[in-house]
Amino acid sequence: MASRGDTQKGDEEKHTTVQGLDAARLREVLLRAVERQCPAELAAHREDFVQLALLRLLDRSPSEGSRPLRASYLWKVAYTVIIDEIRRFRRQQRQGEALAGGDASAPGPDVRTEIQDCLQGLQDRRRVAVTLYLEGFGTSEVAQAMGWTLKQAENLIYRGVADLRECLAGGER
Amino acid sequence: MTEVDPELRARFRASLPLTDGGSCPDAAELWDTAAGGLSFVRSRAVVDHARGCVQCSEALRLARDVQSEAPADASAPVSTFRRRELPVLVGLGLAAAAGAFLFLRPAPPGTATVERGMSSAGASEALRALSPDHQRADAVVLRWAAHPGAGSYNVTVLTPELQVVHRAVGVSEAELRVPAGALRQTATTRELLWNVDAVLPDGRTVGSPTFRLRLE
Repeated sequence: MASRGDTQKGDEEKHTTVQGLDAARLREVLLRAVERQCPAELAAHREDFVQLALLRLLDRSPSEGSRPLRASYLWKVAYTVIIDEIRRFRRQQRQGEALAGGDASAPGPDVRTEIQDCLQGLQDRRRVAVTLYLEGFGTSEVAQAMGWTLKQAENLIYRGVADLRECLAGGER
Repeated sequence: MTEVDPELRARFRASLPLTDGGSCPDAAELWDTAAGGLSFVRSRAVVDHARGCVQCSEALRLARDVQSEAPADASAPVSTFRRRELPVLVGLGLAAAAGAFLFLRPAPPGTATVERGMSSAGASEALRALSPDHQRADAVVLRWAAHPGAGSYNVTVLTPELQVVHRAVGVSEAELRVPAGALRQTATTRELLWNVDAVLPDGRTVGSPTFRLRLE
């Protein structure tokens, strides 16, 4: 075998960065998020999803050039790869269930209509605020996501949740 | 402030219907929604969709989780319009006009660009692995398809955790024997990743995809 030039032992350049990003940290956060938010059958594959995301960062597309990329971009790429993989996994799962004769697209329980109808009836900004709140967003996260001040977000969540409770109580009477 | 209501949240989550995924927003849009990178109208559309789609609801929560743990500069919106930055954008527009000249100038000599995954001539000339993807750990030889016009190659070998275990610069042939010593530190690793960059005479670099290698 012929190789010329500098051949360096790995320990001279040992690092855990991908495109300048702390890969260990990224990996840890992604694994934790998938474990926390995804159902068990998906969480069991979290290592694969995260590994694919990290590989994707290594395989930057040609149009991305060699300039250092912003951390925000790299985290976003990792996230999008994981979501795309989860979607692909679910599609396959649905196809498998359909072949087995199951109905994978069956709607949830009856309560679905009630809470969804109540949410649908809320005023626009309150509906968005309450939905994000129910998704688990904190007040400051709702404010950031929607471009509101903290006070606005707090007010919209408060009033929206009150409206929702009132609507649900009305339906239960 | 309204206290977190676990019962209401649980009830909401139980109400989320499965969809066929046909009209779901892009993952990037879900990320931007959580990061505050979209207009109100677009964010509202995404949030309203997630309210009726268990998969996107889950994806939105994942984005929130990741962004809440990511370093501050990592959760900032990437490329989309931020409502609160409109006045700043007007100023930036003027600065951009002035900066366009500098930006559009040809790159100075010696500036290398990496095109990972394919050559500038197209995917048909992409660097591809020729060596077996299963090899003995004490005799790893990496081979790849020579790239037309390449003067030399740079090869990087990594663990699945993306720790670089070996890097060879200026390899003259399309082959590299990985020193056994380089792999000793990863004795427990049964898999490696590797990629190769072809260095062209004008300094540009064409990168391969990342290949997997199983160690026996």
